[in-house]
Amino acid sequence: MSLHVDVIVIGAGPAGLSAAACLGEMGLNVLTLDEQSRPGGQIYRNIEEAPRENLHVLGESYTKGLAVARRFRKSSAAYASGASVWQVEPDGRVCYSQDGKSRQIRANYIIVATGAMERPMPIPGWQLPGVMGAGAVNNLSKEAGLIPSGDVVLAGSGPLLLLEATLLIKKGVHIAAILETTPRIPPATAFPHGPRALLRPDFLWEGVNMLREIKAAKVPHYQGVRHIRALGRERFERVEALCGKETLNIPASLLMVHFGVIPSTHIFRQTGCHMTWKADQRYWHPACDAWGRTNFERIFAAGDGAGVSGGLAARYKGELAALEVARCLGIIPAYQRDALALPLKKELKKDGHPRPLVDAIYAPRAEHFVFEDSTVLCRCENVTVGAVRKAVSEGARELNEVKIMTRSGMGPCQGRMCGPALAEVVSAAAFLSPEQTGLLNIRPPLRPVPLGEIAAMELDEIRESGNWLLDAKK
Amino acid sequence: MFKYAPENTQQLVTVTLDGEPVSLPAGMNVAAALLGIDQIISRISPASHKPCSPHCLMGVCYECLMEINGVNRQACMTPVSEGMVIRRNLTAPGGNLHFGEKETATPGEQITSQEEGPSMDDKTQGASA
Repeated sequence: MSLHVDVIVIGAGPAGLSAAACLGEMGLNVLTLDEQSRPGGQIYRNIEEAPRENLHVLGESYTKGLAVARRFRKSSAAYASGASVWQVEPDGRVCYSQDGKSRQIRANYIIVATGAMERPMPIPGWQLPGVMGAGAVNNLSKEAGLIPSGDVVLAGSGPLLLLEATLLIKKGVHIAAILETTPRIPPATAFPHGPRALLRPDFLWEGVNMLREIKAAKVPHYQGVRHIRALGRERFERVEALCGKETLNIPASLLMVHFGVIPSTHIFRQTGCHMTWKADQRYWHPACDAWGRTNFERIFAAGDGAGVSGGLAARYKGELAALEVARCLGIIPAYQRDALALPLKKELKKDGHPRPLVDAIYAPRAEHFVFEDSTVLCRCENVTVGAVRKAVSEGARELNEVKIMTRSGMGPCQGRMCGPALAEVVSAAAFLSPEQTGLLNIRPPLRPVPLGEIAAMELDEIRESGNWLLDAKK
Repeated sequence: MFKYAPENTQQLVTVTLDGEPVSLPAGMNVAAALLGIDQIISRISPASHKPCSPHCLMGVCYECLMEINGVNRQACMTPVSEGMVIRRNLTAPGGNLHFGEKETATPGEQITSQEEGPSMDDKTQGASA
């Protein structure tokens, strides 16, 4: 394989597939690196081989992925599956591991479309076997055709929690309860966004239908739930929570937790991209312009990794980034880029109408972040919230100090699971904002790679600086 | 905890799970395939000595780390193939199934027990953090 391509796209979800297809269609040499084994990302997982029942139950939001995947396959963009990127440098170098072999490759431009992940939320007992992310159960159904066999409790907040509940109902799964932390009455901050959301009656109708289906299935649906605890000795057995003055105690075999989604930012942070704190949704995302360009000229962010706005918006964002990259590479002039971008921007705006309302209703609330000292915060290293608070009481003010003192964030997941909550615990205990306590430093390798693999790598000659675009043309 | 949807058709291959032959669907990720045969415990945490099960199934949480063909890998990111050798080390001294007594391990104990793990130190993948 050539050691240099025009564009590397990282991730093969809606944003990555759209970006790669768009660039491939223009005749550029594009390599798509996907750590999953099949294209689709999370929302369109296993779309190409999906059984008919899944296409039917998951509906239009899933089947739309078929066209995206087909367009990608038809384009000239190369696809590398099972390829885990473990280093990205601002100069366009990417190291990745595939089939037990690591390679280094260079590109003029890199579009990082790593998508979003469920916000990890430490609740008591979340480390027990039998407690899973709602997205994980969704993935099992898409990829493996597996559905929960016993009683299920869904807990947390966000539209995807309710969506998952309706999917499970359609599949005949018995839901013992839905424990929503979102209060029954939306917060006052939501109302100003109402009129804009009315521009998309189809979307609101879908939401209403979702709630009706849950009601029709007679699933006990509690709202404004607090203090959710997963209990059990060797594995999850029952969930306890407060709803108003009532203490709920519900036995189940599986607890599905979901507290919204946040961008996956490890690649951006390792590369050194400037990060921005989104205060209302309480997550970090890379700072980028309207095309997705980060502070590094060669590095673009597209899709939910650049800020959560959903699968459809991710496709438009992927394509917008691709258009700007094509312009930078001299394939299309600026006026053509703008002409092609115009309908995309219109669609993006239309798709975004309900977003502020949904975001305001399901915004993470202060009571989500009231943690108990005994709750495990870092699952990998078994560090409790109390241990982190102790480090703060001893003077730590920055996440990386706390990491060194407690080992929180030093395990195999490299702070992916504890990082967001760690920021909340440290900043609250230190009376600072998460912007002040910072982010955990992320260093290569982004994924654990056997050292032998790195030692066996064929390295390109090292060129310290210079313009790769010009070098390539010489 | 999970069952296959009725219409599911799979091609099964034989792999070795903790020394025993089992049939798993080819191409499915190992974590999902094991959940499908009710093997929900993925590993014993070297830090807490308690059993873990896959949590995210999308490559984020690393709770499904297990020894696959001699290397510690994320089971949810590894497709099942014929003849695969999977070891979860569920009874290893580094993480034994008799948890109860080590409810609150001190940091010192954690480090020792990690070192004692028979196959962890030579086969664990590269540096983390």
